[in-house]
Amino acid sequence: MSKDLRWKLLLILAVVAITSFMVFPVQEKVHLGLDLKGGIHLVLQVRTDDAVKASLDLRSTSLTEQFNRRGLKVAHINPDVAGGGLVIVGADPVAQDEFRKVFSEQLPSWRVSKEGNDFRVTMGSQELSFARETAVTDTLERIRRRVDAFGVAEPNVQRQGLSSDRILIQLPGIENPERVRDLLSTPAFLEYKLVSLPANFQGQTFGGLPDEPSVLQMFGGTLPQDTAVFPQEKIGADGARQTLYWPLTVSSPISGNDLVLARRGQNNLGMPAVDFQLTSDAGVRFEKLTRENLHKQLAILLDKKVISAPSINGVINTNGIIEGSFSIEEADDLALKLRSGALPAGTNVIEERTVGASLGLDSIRKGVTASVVGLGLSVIFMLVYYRGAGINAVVALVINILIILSMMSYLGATLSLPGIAGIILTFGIAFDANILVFERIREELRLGKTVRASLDAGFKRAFSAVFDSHVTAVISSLVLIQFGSGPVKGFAVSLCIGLIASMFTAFFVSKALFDWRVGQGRRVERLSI
Amino acid sequence: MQILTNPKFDFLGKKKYFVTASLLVVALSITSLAIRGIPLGIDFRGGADVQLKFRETPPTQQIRSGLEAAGFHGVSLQAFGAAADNEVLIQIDAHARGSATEEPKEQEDLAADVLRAIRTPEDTAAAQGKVDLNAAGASEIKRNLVSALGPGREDEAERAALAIKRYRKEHGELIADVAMVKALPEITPAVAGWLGASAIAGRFSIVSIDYVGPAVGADLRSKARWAVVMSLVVMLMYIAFRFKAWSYGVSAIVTLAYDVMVTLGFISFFQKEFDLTVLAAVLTIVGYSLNDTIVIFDRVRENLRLRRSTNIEKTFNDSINETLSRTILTSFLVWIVLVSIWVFGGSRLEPFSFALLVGSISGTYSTIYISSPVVVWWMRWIAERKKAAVRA
Repeated sequence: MSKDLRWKLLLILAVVAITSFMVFPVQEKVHLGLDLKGGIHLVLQVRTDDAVKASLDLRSTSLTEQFNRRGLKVAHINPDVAGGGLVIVGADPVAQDEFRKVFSEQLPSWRVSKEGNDFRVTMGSQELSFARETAVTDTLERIRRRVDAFGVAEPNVQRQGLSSDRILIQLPGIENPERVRDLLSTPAFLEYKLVSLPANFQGQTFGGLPDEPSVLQMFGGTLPQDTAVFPQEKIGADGARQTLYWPLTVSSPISGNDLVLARRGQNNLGMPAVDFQLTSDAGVRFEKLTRENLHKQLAILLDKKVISAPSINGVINTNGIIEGSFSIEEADDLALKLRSGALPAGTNVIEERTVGASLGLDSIRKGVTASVVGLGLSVIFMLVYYRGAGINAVVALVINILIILSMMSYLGATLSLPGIAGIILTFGIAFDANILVFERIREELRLGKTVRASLDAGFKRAFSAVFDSHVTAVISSLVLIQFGSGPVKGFAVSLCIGLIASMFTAFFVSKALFDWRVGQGRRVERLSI
Repeated sequence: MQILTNPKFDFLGKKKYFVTASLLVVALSITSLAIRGIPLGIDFRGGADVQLKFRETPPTQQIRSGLEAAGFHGVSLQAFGAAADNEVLIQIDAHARGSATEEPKEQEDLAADVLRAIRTPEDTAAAQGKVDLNAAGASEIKRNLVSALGPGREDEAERAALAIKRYRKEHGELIADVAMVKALPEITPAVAGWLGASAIAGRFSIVSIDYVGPAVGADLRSKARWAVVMSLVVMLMYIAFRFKAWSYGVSAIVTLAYDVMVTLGFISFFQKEFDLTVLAAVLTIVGYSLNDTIVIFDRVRENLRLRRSTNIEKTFNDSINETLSRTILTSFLVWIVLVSIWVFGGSRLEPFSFALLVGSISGTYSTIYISSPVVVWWMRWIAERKKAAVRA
C-alpha cells in the first residue's frame, strides 16, 4: 500500500471514529425537534406599549404631585403612548413659566411644546426605545426564571431576532399547553388595595356586585376620589363564569415588587394558599396599613383583577398569606409567578405549537420505518447493480449520515421533519454522485482502458458534474438558511451539511476504497462494478 | 448488470410534441390554481388547528354548537385518521372571530378559547379542583400526589405517576376510566384513594395544537417568498457563470419554474394542504431537478468541447442518451425512497411525500424535455441573429 493511500485510509477511519463518538448514543446527542419529540413551542410578543404606558403613568403621578405642591392648576394629564409623551390639558395660562420650570426640573431630557393652553411633553427617542428594550429584556429574563421551574431538559428561551419584541420558548416533552401558556404569558402583577365602602356599609362583609352600575348606585351615583371599580372573575359551583365588581382604592400601598419570597402554603382550613414575605421596608408600611384598617377588607389583585378580599383580623408585618379558592397547582403556579417577578409588560401569544408525546412518537416510528425501508431497498439495489463498487456507495452513505448527524449535534441543531427531508434529498444527491462516477468508470472500461486508467478517468471526468450540482445546491441552501425561517432553515441546514459530506464521501472515501482494492501491487484485470 | 448501455433515442426530434404537452400541463396547473386554489396550511393562513382524541366517537354536533356559542364562525371540523382513532381536527382561521372584512388581529389565546368552548359545563364541574389524568403530565400528577400523601413518600408518588403515564401512552394517550389505572401494580392503596377522590379521566386528550397569529402568518409568507426567489436568482447566476452562457442558467430556471408549477398544480388539484413542510418539499424538488439538469448540461459542455460538433441538437441528444442509464438509476432510487415514505410515513407526512413524488417525476421529465429544448432554441436564435447581422 502506498504511503499516500495509508494516510487517506487513516483519515477516513479517524472521521468515522470522531463522528461516531459525536453521534452515539443517538438519543443523547441528536436533539429532536418538537414535531418529533412532542412538547410546546410558543412565541410571545411583548406589549412594549404597556411598559411605555407604565412609565408615563409614573411621570404623570410625579408631575401631579409637583403641580399640587406649587399650586399649579391643570384640568387633567393624558398619556399619549404612541407618541411617548403626556398632554397636560388646561394648564393655567398665567403660570406658564412655572410650568416650564417644573418640566425642566422633572423631565430634563423631554421635549416641551405648547398647543393652546395645553402642554405636550415627549420622551426623547432614545429614552423611548430604551423603555421598550428594557421591557423585552426584563420579560425575557423573568420568563427564563419561570421556565427553569419546569425542570425541562433542553428548554429554549430566546429573543427572536436581535431587536424584535418576540420571545421564542420551546419546551420539549412538556404537556398541558394551557398551564404553560398561563404560567409564561401572564404578567402576575400583585397589588393590595383596600375595599372602599360607603359609611353605611362599614362593618359588613362585602362580596362584590354583579355589575358596575350597582357599585355606582351604592355610592349614590359618584365614586369617591381615589376609588375605582375592579373586576373579579369567579367560577360558580355549576361551572359557569361570573364577573363581580369591587370598589377599591386606586393607590396600592403594597405590590409584588415588595416581595422577597413566595411559596405554596395552607390557610386555616387546610386549603392551598400562597405564603409570602415582604421586604422590611414594605413590612413597616404593611403594619401601619393593617393597624389603621383593622376589620376592614383588603383586596388582593393579580393583574388588576381581584383574587380575594379577606378581612384584616390582626396587625400583619412582613409575613402574609394570599387566599383564593386555589387548587394545589394554581397555588404553586402563583407562588412561582410571584417569585420570578412580574413581567414588566403584558404579552400576546402569537404562535403556539403543541405536539402530543404520542404523536411525536408516532412520527418518529413512521419516519424511521419509511427511511429504513427506502434506504434498505436502495442499498440492496446498489449492491446488486454495482456489486463490489456498490459497497463503496454504501460505505460512503453511512459515513455521510454519520457526518450529518455529528455536525447537527455539534451545531446544536434540532432534527425535525423538514430536516429529515433535507437528509433524504442528500441521499438522492449522494447516491447520484456515486452513480455518476460508476457510470463513467464503466464507460471507460467499455472503451477498453485498463482498470487503473478507467478509475482515474472516471473520477476525473465525473468531477465537474458532481461539483457543479453540489455547489449549486449548497448555494441555494445557504440562501435558504439566510432568508428562511424555522422548518425551511432546518431543511437547509441538514441539506447543506449533507452536500459537503457527499462531496467528501463520493470523491475521497470512494476513491480511496477503490485504490485500496485495486492497488495491491498486482495488476487487476477486472473490477467489480 | 447493465441497463441501456448505448441507447440512441431521438429525444429532441419530438420536442415539439413534448413541449406542447408540457405547456398543456402548465396551463392545466394554472387553471386549477386559479379555480381551486391551494388550501393554505396554518403556517401561512394564520389561525388555530386543534387535534383532539376522544374516548368515544367525537361529539361533532356538540363541539360545533359549543364553538358557535363562543362566537366562532366558519369552523372546519373533520375526522382525522381512521374512524376507530376517534380523532377530530378543528380548524379555525384568523378571521374566525370578528367580521370577515376586518383585518385579522392577534387573537389572544385563540387555541385556549377553542378548548374552553369545547368543554361542557359537566366537564368543568367534574374537573373542579380535580386532576384530569388525560391532560396532566407525569410531573403534575406526582406533585399532586406528593402533597396528598404527605412528606417522605415521593418515591411512591413518582412510581404511581409514571405508571399512570405509561398506561396512558399504551392506550393511545387516553385513559377511559380512572378505575382502570387503579388496578396497576404500582398503585398503592393510598394512591388509589387519591385517584378515587381527586382524579378524573376527561373525555378527550390533546393530540396537537397549532396556533399561528396573523402577523406571524404574513411574516412566514413573505420570508418563504423571499427565500425561494433569492435562491433561484443565485442559482441562475452560478449556472450562467459556470457554463459561460446565460442560455443554460435561464433554461435551468425555466425548468425549475415548470417543476414548481406542476407540483403546485397537483397540490391544488388534489387539494393538499400547503404548509412549511410542503414548502420544504418544493425546495427539495428544486434541488433535485437542478441536480439532474446540471448532470446533462455538464455532459453537453464536455461533448461540445471534445467533438467540436456544430449540431447542437445532436450534441444534446447524444448527451441525454449517454447519461440516460444514470438518470434512470438515480430516479429509480429516489422513487424507492419516496414511495416508502408515501406508504409508511403516516398521515402527517402524506402531503409532504405527495409533493416530493410529483415533483421528482416532473423533475426527471423536465430535465430532458424542457431544459434541453430551451437551450437548443436559445442557441439557434443567437446563431441566426449573428447570421443576420453578418448578412446585413
